[in-house]
Amino acid sequence: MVRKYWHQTPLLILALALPIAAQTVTISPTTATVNLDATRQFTRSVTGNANTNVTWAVNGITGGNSTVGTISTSGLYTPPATLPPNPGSIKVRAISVVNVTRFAEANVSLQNPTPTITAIEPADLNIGNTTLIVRGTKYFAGATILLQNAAVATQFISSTELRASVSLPNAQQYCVIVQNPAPTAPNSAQRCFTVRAAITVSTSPTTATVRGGATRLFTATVRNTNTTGVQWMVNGVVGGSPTTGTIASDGTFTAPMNIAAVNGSVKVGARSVKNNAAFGESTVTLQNPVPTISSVNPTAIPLGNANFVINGNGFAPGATVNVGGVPMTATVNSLTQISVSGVTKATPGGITAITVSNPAPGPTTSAPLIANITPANPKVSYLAAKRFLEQATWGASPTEIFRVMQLGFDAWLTEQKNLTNSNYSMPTPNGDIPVSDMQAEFFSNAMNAPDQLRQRVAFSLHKIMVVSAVEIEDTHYLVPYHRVLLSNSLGNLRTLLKEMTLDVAMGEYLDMVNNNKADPAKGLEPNENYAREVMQLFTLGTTFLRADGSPLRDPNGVPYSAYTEEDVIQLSKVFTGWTYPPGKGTGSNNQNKRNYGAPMVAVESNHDTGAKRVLGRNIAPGQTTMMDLDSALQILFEHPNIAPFYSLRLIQSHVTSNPSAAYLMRVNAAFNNNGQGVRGDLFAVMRAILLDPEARAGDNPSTPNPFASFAGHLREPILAFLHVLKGLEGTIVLDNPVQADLERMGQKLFYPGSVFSYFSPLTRAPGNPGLYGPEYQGFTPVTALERVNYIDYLLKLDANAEAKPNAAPYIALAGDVEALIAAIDAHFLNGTMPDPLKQGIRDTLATTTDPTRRARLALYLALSSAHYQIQK
Amino acid sequence: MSIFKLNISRRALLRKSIATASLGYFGVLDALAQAGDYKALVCVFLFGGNDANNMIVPMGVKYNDYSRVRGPATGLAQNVLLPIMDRGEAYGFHPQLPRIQQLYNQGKAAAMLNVGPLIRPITKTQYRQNQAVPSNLYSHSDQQQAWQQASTSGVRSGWGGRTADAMQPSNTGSLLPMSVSTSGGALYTVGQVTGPAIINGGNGLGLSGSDGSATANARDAAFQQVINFQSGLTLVQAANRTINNGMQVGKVLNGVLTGPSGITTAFPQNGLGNQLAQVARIIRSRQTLGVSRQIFFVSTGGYDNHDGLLAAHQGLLTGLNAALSAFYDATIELGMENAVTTFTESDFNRTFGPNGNNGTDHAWGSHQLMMGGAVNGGRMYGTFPNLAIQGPDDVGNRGLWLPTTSVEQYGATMSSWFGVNSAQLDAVFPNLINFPTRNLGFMK
Repeated sequence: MVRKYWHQTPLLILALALPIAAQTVTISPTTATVNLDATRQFTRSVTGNANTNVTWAVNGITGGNSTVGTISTSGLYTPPATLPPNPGSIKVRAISVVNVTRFAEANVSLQNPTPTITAIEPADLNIGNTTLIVRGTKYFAGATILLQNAAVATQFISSTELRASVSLPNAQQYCVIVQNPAPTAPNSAQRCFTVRAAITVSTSPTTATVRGGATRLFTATVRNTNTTGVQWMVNGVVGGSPTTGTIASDGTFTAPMNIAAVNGSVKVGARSVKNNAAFGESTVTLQNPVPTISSVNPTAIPLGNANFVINGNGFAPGATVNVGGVPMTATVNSLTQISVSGVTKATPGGITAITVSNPAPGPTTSAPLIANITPANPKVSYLAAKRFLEQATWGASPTEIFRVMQLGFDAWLTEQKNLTNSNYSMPTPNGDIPVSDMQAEFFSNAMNAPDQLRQRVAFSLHKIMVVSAVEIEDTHYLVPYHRVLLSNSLGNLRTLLKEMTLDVAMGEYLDMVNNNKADPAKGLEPNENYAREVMQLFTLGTTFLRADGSPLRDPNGVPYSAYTEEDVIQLSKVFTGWTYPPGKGTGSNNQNKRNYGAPMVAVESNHDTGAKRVLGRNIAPGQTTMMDLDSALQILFEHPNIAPFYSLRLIQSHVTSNPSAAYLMRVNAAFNNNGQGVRGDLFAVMRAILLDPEARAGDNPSTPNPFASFAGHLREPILAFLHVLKGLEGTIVLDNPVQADLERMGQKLFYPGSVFSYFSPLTRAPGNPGLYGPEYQGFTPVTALERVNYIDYLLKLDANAEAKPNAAPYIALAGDVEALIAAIDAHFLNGTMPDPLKQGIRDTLATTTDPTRRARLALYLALSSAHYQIQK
Repeated sequence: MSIFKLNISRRALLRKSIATASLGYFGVLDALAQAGDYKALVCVFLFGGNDANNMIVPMGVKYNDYSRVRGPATGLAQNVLLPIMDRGEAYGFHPQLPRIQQLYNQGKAAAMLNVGPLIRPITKTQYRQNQAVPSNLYSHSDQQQAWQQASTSGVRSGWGGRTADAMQPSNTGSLLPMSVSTSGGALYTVGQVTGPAIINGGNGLGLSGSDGSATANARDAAFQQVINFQSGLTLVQAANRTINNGMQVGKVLNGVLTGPSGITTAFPQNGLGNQLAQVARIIRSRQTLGVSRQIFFVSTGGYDNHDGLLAAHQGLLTGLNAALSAFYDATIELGMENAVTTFTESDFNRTFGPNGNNGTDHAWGSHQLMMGGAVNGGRMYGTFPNLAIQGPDDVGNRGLWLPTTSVEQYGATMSSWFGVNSAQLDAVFPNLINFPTRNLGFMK
């Protein structure tokens, strides 16, 4: 040891200076117990010599060493790090430097110190076996953990850590003490910790029903630990899988789309991150997903036998498909694809709604996909067919529109011509059929019988060659009159003219029956009524017409009359000699008593056989009653007025109140020659009317229509009613209330006010004297609102109503307001629905989500509008 | 069944809003009704068949003829009757008709005796031989129609409607039909050319389904928006003008029928009172509406008293008296008492002889009341029936009076006053020509 401390030098000097004497060395203390972690100061006392310096040694080793401990020159003993082999017999000796035989010795016992416990791990304990970690200080190899004061096998890790595998069977407080190996200072203080019962995990909700593809949040509750984290799993797989459904770390479960693959049920589980054995789970009952449709292929679904594919998602086995209310045959190929076959139905505007319905569990239907239905290779467009049918028939149902699209106009017309005509029932001789029953037959035929063109033209002709039930209410007479119209309406006008002239009802209505030749003796002349009306109202009109239908005028602008008073007188002589058909006996003048069932018959003796001159043509004297009649009718039939006369009226009735001169002349040409040299072929006339470019203008709304601003005609009440009801594919159950409604709208079927018909073809449109508007004659503020309110009534869709529209296709579209508007526009408004009407429908439908109400309101606004009431 | 209603248009009765019909065109000229030339006929129909035998009862010596048959169970005591005189003979009104008695005595009311549907005058013998007997006598529905038709059975129009047809030029320029019904599409108001404005529930001509809901309001706004849209389509705009005219008339009529009535006379709160209050409102607004002739049809029911006649009839006539009284007062208030003639019709009279339930059954000839300043009141018209069972006027054996005056004569007398000329009268009343007296003289 190097001594460099200055104060030691004098001591050394002093020792050297003193004489050697009897010396005594003492040490204090003489015994000591020293903890390994402590030191102990020894002091010595040397007497007998001035030099009192000593050398310190431990177990004979000066200064000691690491095994037995060290001692400083000042007597401070520092124990070794660990106990030496004989820890109880450590000798600390102070040896006099003057006389090494002089020393003093202290017995030192070493012992392990008292340990401390600073922590027990794990901190969050549950019952069961665990490796207890005891952290602290002053642990010495061999230290023992005392658990509940009982020693447990302890693994010494370090001076600061001990471990022991222990069993902690009870939920209670446990305490540990650490005991160092002997010799040792006292044990550590005890340290206690809480052991809780086993960890539990529960999930909520415990049961749940979740649709395929839908999500549901589950929560887990972990008890008896501070570590509440869980791992989520589906059917035991952490995070689940596409098959079973997946679950996110926050417990959000997403159900699988294919619920069959897991038999409709999965378990959602959560396990404690602390203890895998702690586990809770919920049972999830799966329902079929809400199917979604993304597309159909082909995009336009064929009409009739159709095969197509629906793409989407969530299609469950057994899913069904509905197209526009019609169930299809569906084969579910996969979750995302269905093959469909079936017979599709015509829909308004060719617009339809496709839905997929999944079966149980949780049966549900997709949102509709709006799609188009179209016949294969259509010859004409939907709109063209629809306009054509409205012009030709009592109304255009989607079904008939699609048929016309497939057939084309010409084939349809030919088909119509060859159809058997519908009819009216004739009362038995003693029976009575009220006119109301005839009206019922009219509506039944209009709604159901296929000979639509024939019926419609017959009605147009009824409005020209009028017999009104106001006077002729006995159906024994009225039925044959309407039968004449029906059987001839697509025949030749010449034949019709003759049959009508000889019809008993007409004979009574316009006084030709029992009209005898003049009786000069009595001063009686033939009745002029029929002679006048057949010219004025049935064939010529009052003014002489040019080929374009305009009046032929003299230089002063005054129209030439078509006939003169003399013509009336002459013609009245022609029409003498006719009486009722035989059967009820004979009265005076060889006339038959009132009878029906056959045309009027001639009584030659009552006929004026003199020469007549009618419309500038001579009728030879001496002809029979029938020959005279034929001659006169032929003169009328050949008169140039008759073509424009009929052309105008029939065009007005079917297409437009205001045909152009060119249109009229084209129809005149067809009247004059049907192509086979035949004049007066009404079918050819109707064909010309319906196929004319002017009639067809408007078939394509994107093509400019030069006639648009004044096109069309106001639908008369009967036509408006039937067009609406057929357009809506409705049915008539009871006809009488309908007739009462039509009367309020201003048209009583079969009861025109007079021979001047329901309205005059020459009525001008109100506010537009330059335009014709025949139907406006009966269109008053009162009747106009009656129509509007009748539309409202019809669209109440009252199950007990007498006329029942079918609004189902519109209700099916009501979830998609724009699709609904598009269907109504295409089917009723020629695709030209004005923006204010569209916006009005949108605004109104925004107030309700009820599909039926929406369909009713949209149809009401469209059908009650003048844009519909004018057939364009 | 105690209430029978004409069933011409089942649904029309159910409709909430006014519905009107017309075959003719009511122009849109601004013609004004000529002040001072206004007349109205108000038909009060008593559905079920009013027992007129207890409405007008003979007093004095003839009372015994009455009491002998009716007795206390179905008859009225002489001392409760409200006495009146007619051509020197004493009669009594039902005790619940005090105002009618008062008006009668003031010369403002009269009664038509033993009137009913007839094709031509017939005798009891002819009746038994079934000569010119009107069809379906004693049937509610048929006789309700017969009274309203005043024509050959089967005709689908009423004499009010045909009177309106004839008088239509008087209202040229008015947007409101001449006939107005508060009781559905009554046949009475249906003409061959014109039809009625039907008022129900105080609503006016307008859009049905306008219930004030948000949806209905949006619908109506859209409807109006479409009407107003200038599409440039000539025929469409022509139709829209006409529809708009209807809406405007509706607003006028709505203004008349809603809000303060401007009439201080209080009407009884019963069906008939409410209907007549509406009629009074319309009459008050005649100049606004541009009308100089109007025909109204109002009705009340409950008169089919097959049992318990006395009590039931007492209540019915109390209501009738109150409603007619208020209405007459209202016409005075409006200064129109001389221009408004109110009269009753009913299915038929009831049998004079009672049944076993203290009630009476269906019969034929009946008595009716006429009220108004233009009525030559204070007396009765026609012939009071001989009250003998199986007597000369009984076509059965329970007192079914063979009418001595026809409905057509009754109606023609009023239509004549209303302004229908003699030539037109035969068209309105096709069988009138069969009767010797065309005008019964009860109108001034």
